[in-house]
Amino acid sequence: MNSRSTNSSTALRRLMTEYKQLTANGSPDGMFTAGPISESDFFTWEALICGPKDTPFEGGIFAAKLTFPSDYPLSPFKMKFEPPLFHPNVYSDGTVCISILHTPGDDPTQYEHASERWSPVQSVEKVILSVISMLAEPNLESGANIDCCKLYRDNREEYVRIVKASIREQLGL
Amino acid sequence: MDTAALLKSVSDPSDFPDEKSAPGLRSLDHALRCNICGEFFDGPVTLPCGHGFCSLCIREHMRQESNCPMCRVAAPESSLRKNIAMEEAIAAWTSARPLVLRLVSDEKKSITEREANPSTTPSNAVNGKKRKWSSEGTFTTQEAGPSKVQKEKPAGDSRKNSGQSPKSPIRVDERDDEVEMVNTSDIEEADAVDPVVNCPMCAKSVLESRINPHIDSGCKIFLASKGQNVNNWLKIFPGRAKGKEKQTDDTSNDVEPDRLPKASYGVLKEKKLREMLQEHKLPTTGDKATLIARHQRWIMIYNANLDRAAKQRKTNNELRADLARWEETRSFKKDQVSDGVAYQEAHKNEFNQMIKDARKRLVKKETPEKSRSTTTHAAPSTSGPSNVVAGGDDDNVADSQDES
Ligand SMILES: [Zn+2]
Ligand SMILES: [Zn+2]
Ligand SMILES: [Zn+2]
Repeated sequence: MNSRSTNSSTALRRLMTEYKQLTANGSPDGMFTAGPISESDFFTWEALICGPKDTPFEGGIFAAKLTFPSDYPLSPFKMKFEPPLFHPNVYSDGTVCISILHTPGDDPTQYEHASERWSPVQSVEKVILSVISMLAEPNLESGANIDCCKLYRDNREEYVRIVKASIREQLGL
Repeated sequence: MDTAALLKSVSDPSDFPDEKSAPGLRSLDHALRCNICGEFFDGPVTLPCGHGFCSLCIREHMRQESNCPMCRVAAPESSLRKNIAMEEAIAAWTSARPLVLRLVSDEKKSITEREANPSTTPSNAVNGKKRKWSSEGTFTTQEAGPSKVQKEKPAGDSRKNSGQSPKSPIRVDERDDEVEMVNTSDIEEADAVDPVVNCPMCAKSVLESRINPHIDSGCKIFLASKGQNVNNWLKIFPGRAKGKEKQTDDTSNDVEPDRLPKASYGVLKEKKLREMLQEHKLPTTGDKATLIARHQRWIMIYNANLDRAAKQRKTNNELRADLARWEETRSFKKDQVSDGVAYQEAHKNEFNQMIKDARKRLVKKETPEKSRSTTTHAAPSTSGPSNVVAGGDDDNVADSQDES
């Protein structure tokens, strides 16, 4: 009498549940939206994230693609800003480098605490909320874009200017 | 629309109104679910830290990390203890859930009607009060206003009310047959008129006429037979062509079976591995890595099965069928792709079937209420990002809305 058959159907069901809950409850303060890009593929989502207030990202809306593995949630999904975002913890191709999306076996920086890493009880919502706080407070210990890290550390004004300029450009201003 | 229908077919706590309108229902539904898979605990187990999961979910996690996914406190697999009380609570809740959803939905309907047509409810018109769930979980206003879509029935009139006190009539509609269990002995005669279909969610056999309430129940009830899953492996066990023959299976005796110990595969020869598999009547094909993976998985699902109450347990043949399906997915993953996109692409038929069934549900359930559905589920768009729409909590009982 159980409804589980294979790992992938667990993944699909879990994704449908997460999406249903996001649809029903919305996100805290409406800070983001997320859902499958098309109804025929529940394993690829798009998230739209509002730049957090009182940060250089305020006013921007950032699109990211989420790609889920077939053994989700045992393994984490991948998150990639499209177009890429200028941020110390985002690789130049847009991939987000954040400890909550890393499993214990894959810690590229060795600086992350086990307690912050992926576990199967994490969710799209928790990850995106972590990414939003990462936008506000970059983590220089696990930098992904070294130039951006340096700029952030040494010339904050210029960092803010570049981020703001890119947002204006994105909005077509 | 298909996506919206699919979502409706998933059972989750947001099927119930928010905490303000129906205190406790969402949290109750949530508390009985595993935080790994999001479904009601299946073979619930508790870790030393006190957190609980489905036996199989946590065992899969513990192959990667020996800790609790919630609090990260270290915990070996041997520390898992089954949680019988939790399992009983889930059995009770899953059988009560369709009725509770029905009541919640009826209550919402009646509020909507009163708001739309206040003149028919003089008592409300006078004091301006709306009917609401009180904190005791009862309706604070009990007057039965005139209602076009509902009938008051005395409790005795309906099978599903049999447990209710006759003093407290329950509102039910005409479709009161959903909590009726299918008598599996009737299935063969019924086959011709009511074909057995595979549930798009759990892949188990369900009578076509019961597929919707089955999905509503989180795939817990209305299983038509347990034979369907075994088909693939029937070739291996030609003597057991019928899944029905539970009594011939070795899980049916009264002695609590022992858990299987883990093996240290490193030192084992292939011949020994094959013998070990044969011991459990498992296929012995494949290379050494396949043999090891098969044996490991068998031990995991076998031990997880023992964390279910005896009457909820799968037979060994059902476990073998589960193992066979797992291998299919696994070999697929290994040989071709590693991501869910391609998996889903390759299993297009299953997903199409799922969408087809969901569409059937949608047509069946939504058409009759179109006239008054000014506030249905926000249908996620089918192209571009399907945006989350906040608010509208009281729309979420749509799952159980009735035809009138
Ligand atoms: Zn679970
Ligand atoms: Zn814990
Ligand atoms: Zn099912």
